[in-house]
Amino acid sequence: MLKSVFLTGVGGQGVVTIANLLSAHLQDSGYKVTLIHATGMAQRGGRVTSEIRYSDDRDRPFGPRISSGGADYIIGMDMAETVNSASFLKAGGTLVFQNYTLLPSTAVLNKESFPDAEEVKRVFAPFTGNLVEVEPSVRPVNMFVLGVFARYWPEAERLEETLSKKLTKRVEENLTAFHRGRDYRTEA
Amino acid sequence: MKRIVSGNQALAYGALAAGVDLVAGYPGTPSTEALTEIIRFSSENENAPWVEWSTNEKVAFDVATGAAWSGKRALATMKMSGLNVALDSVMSVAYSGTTGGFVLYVADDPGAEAGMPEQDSRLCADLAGLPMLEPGNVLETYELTQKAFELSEKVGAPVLLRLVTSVSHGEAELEADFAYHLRETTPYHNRDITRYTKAGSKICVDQHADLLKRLDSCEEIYESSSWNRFEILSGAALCVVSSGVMNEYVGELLPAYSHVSSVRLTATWPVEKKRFLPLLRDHESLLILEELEPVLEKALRSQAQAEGLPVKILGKMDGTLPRTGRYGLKDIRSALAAASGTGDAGPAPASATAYRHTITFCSGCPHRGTYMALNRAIKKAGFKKKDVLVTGDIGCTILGMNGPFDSCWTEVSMGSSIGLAQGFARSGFDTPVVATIGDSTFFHAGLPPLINAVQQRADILVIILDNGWTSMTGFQVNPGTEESLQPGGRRRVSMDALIQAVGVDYFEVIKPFDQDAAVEALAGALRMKGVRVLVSREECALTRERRKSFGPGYSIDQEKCTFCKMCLRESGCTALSPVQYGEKTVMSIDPDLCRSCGLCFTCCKFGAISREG
Ligand code: SF4
Ligand code: SF4
Repeated sequence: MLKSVFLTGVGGQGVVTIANLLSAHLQDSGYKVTLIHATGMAQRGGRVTSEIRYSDDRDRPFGPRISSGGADYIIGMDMAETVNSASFLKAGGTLVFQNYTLLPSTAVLNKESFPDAEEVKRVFAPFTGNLVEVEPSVRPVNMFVLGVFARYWPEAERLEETLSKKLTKRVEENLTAFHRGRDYRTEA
Repeated sequence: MKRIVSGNQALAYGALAAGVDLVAGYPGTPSTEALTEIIRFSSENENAPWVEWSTNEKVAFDVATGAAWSGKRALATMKMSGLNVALDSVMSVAYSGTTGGFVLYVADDPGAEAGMPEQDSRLCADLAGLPMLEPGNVLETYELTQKAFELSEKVGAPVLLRLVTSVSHGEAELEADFAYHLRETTPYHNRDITRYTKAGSKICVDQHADLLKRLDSCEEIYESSSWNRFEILSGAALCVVSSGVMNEYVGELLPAYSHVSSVRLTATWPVEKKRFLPLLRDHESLLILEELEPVLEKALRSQAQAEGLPVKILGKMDGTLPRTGRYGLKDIRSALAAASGTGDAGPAPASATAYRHTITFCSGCPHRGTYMALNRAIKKAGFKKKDVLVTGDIGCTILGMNGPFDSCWTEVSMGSSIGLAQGFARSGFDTPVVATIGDSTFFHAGLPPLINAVQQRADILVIILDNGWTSMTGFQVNPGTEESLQPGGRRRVSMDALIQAVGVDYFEVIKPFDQDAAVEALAGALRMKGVRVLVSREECALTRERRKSFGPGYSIDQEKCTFCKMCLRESGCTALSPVQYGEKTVMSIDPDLCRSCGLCFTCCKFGAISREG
């Protein structure tokens, strides 16, 4: 088995943090894992992506990048970047996305249109297995979304243990957000 | 011990395991974290090599050369653009060779994820006649970095160690001791002007012959190593040849194809002609998988041609693979399908609109204040923004090219804004020409063009946006960083003294958050003639934040806000965004993002913005 998780968002949303947690969890669970972050302009409001690939066969060679149609899961923290990443999802894959878009100042000033949840669904619905929208109601949102994702991710078993082990700051708050995510009702 | 590390970190620990004595580099994505990791290691361990961020890549390479020529193990680190800066020395040292193990780490960026040209530094191995290793994953990077030092000593040549972004930023588990293995060596340098100088054509031509001999000696070493894996199946019609990270994808996809030979290279230059010959003879076709330039493809095509072999070479030159960009599984899968006539290219990707998150300065960034002031000063001095040409430079300061500032018109290379401005100014525009450049970029390569401007009596306004750090690449220290923040008792170099010593016609230091005074000074300087230099000085918001808080933030009185958007239009601050307030839309400030710079306050005509507390 060789699977891939693609995470995307913009700087400051904690995409890198949850990708690191997922990678550490997979590593601890005995998988062979590769992880790569593309955060070039993150601090400046730019696109962030993290790509995780993992296999239960530790001798199996595989490359680090996910190419189009290669992601079993996408976690999207920003709807514009989620739509931008649509081509990465495998037919029948799972999308968990936050209903939030960071509007760059230029978009506000020039009245450029940015996608809403309806557009995300319109783009993904034709080929997506689970299409899960998350209202950002609990902070920190990245841990909340991670909690929702865990419901759809077979490898999530004992993910909590990894979180308690790896989180260094505001552990209680983060774990609570994760639990709220796990209990989140979605009309999937 | 097992740890998850990036390729850059693996390279750092490989060098430490090899007992590297000196490490010098200049930051540049995607190479930076290799040196950062060694700095971190040396701050936590007494026993560590000398490590420095040098003023620029050429200086770094020269410093490393001095150590390598003392019989020590030296590592120089840079991105491909930095290699260009160092190239003058790289060429010269390549011809001289080395005594100590000398590794030049260069990171290329297929797909240009970090901006800058999609340059293929492998061509430099050919140009300078350097042996080259290209690891494709974390473990290979760790091991081959150590081997690179041995190879360098054995051959007597600097070794180019080349990673691409997918490898240098790619993370995986590494089992190692993560320790420094110091080798006790005494420095020695035998004075030999035929080897270590270039004065005299005989010296140089002899050195050229030596270089070729060194290169020739690599092939045998490669053959006896496990760096290049030749898996040749008898009777196979197709052979897939790949290198570096491409090997990983071949390993992933090839099991689905029956009876295809493969060659996976990590020692990529010089090309192992001897081992390739039977393979060129015995296969109908070769598929070459390499990102960027067709380096390997050209070498194999020319070998086949020289041997008069009819083998078909598939790659970039015949259009089997794209000529640009980073390769994904998708590209490799369709090339394999085309070359083997079996398998399929996989499903067509879903298409979607591309939305762009324009990148901009962080909230509280002093550069925001400088570009705001420049825009205001242009107006105040009686010019139109569309008439004032601003040459930008590398680093965070280039973000002034984006809205709402729309200030910078050009970006070429480190320090080039100041030279470029002189050429524009000499072309006869009757409006002022401005160059904007950051502090680290100025120290790196801004001084020679400034000296030129003074000597040639140029007519330019240079604005140095001095935030005290090399921020874009992750807040490295530079010559201008506050002395108390310089690590290990290093000193600060006074930019102001340097500029004044050059003899510029006008010099002034401004404060970007003191808008009125900054606008006044800039408007005055715009109207002057000669070489005017204004240093706009305020520490990077993000480094400052690590040491002290910004105090109470600003907020917007929603009753008073008319939603004229002037605050956003002028400052573009990321903390500002529209919200619904009853019936109307108003501007609001995100308290988590506001860093209390006060710039938005200077924009509001309705007194809606004020400081809390
Ligand atoms: S400048 Fe003042 S009135 Fe105009 S949108 Fe900003 S806060 Fe509101
Ligand atoms: S004071 Fe205004 S411009 Fe400065 S960081 Fe706060 S919101 Fe942004």
